[in-house]
Amino acid sequence: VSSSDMPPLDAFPKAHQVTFNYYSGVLFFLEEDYKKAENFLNEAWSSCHKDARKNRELILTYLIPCRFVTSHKLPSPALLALYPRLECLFGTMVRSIKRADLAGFDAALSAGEPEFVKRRIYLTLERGRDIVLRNLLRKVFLVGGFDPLKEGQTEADAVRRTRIPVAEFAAAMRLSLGQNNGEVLDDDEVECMIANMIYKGSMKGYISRERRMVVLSKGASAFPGTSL
Amino acid sequence: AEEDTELPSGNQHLWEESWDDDETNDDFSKQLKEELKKVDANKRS
Repeated sequence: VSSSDMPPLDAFPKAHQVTFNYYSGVLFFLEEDYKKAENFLNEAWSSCHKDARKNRELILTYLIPCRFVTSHKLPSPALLALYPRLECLFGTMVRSIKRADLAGFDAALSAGEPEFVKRRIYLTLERGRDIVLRNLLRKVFLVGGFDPLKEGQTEADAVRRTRIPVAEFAAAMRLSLGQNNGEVLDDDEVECMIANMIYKGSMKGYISRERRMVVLSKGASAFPGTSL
Repeated sequence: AEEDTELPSGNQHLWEESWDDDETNDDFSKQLKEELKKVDANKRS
């Protein structure tokens, strides 16, 4: 879209601005330029009249998957409660992401597939699986507890265990995938998924292949916040 | 009425800014703890 030979956008009526921003956002979304898409959709959202529910719903249909990708942010339950159609589209999926429930996420993705494909958000939503995975790995880290205290250390010095066997992550994935799908997953695949998460920056650390151990970076920094 | 409860158009409350919790007492974490114990036991045997 070239706007160099047009008057500035704010010279147009508000409703037209919303429409322009919405469609620009959707176009960038389809080109997988999520950062730009998010900017336009945000712009459309903030100037959209609050009673234009249908339009607000349309904007969110793209803004929600967009934010999965750009910042790992999820819509709040309050927001979904206001838009039953969106709750229906995304509710189960969002809750599975928070629960680190891979089986639930996969089921929600395939249950909604026809609708997601129709709205052309399927591929984007699929990328939300990374967030489930990140949450799952983080749960293993949390459940792992703390390293034993060294001499002279007190409770306050306790450090979370940062050396975690690949086998533990594998067990967590099998559990999260459920009985049916979990069995096919072997430790090498799990190692590969972990390497991917590290590469993408969702998890900080490295894999010690000889020891089959993941060594996470110390402190709270092993799993960067949900707003990357 | 529903109109009155509409959220402000700003971004507060619309998005969960941080949904990371350190909760390890949910059902899934409990199950996970059990599974990890088994992993540990297998390694030792």
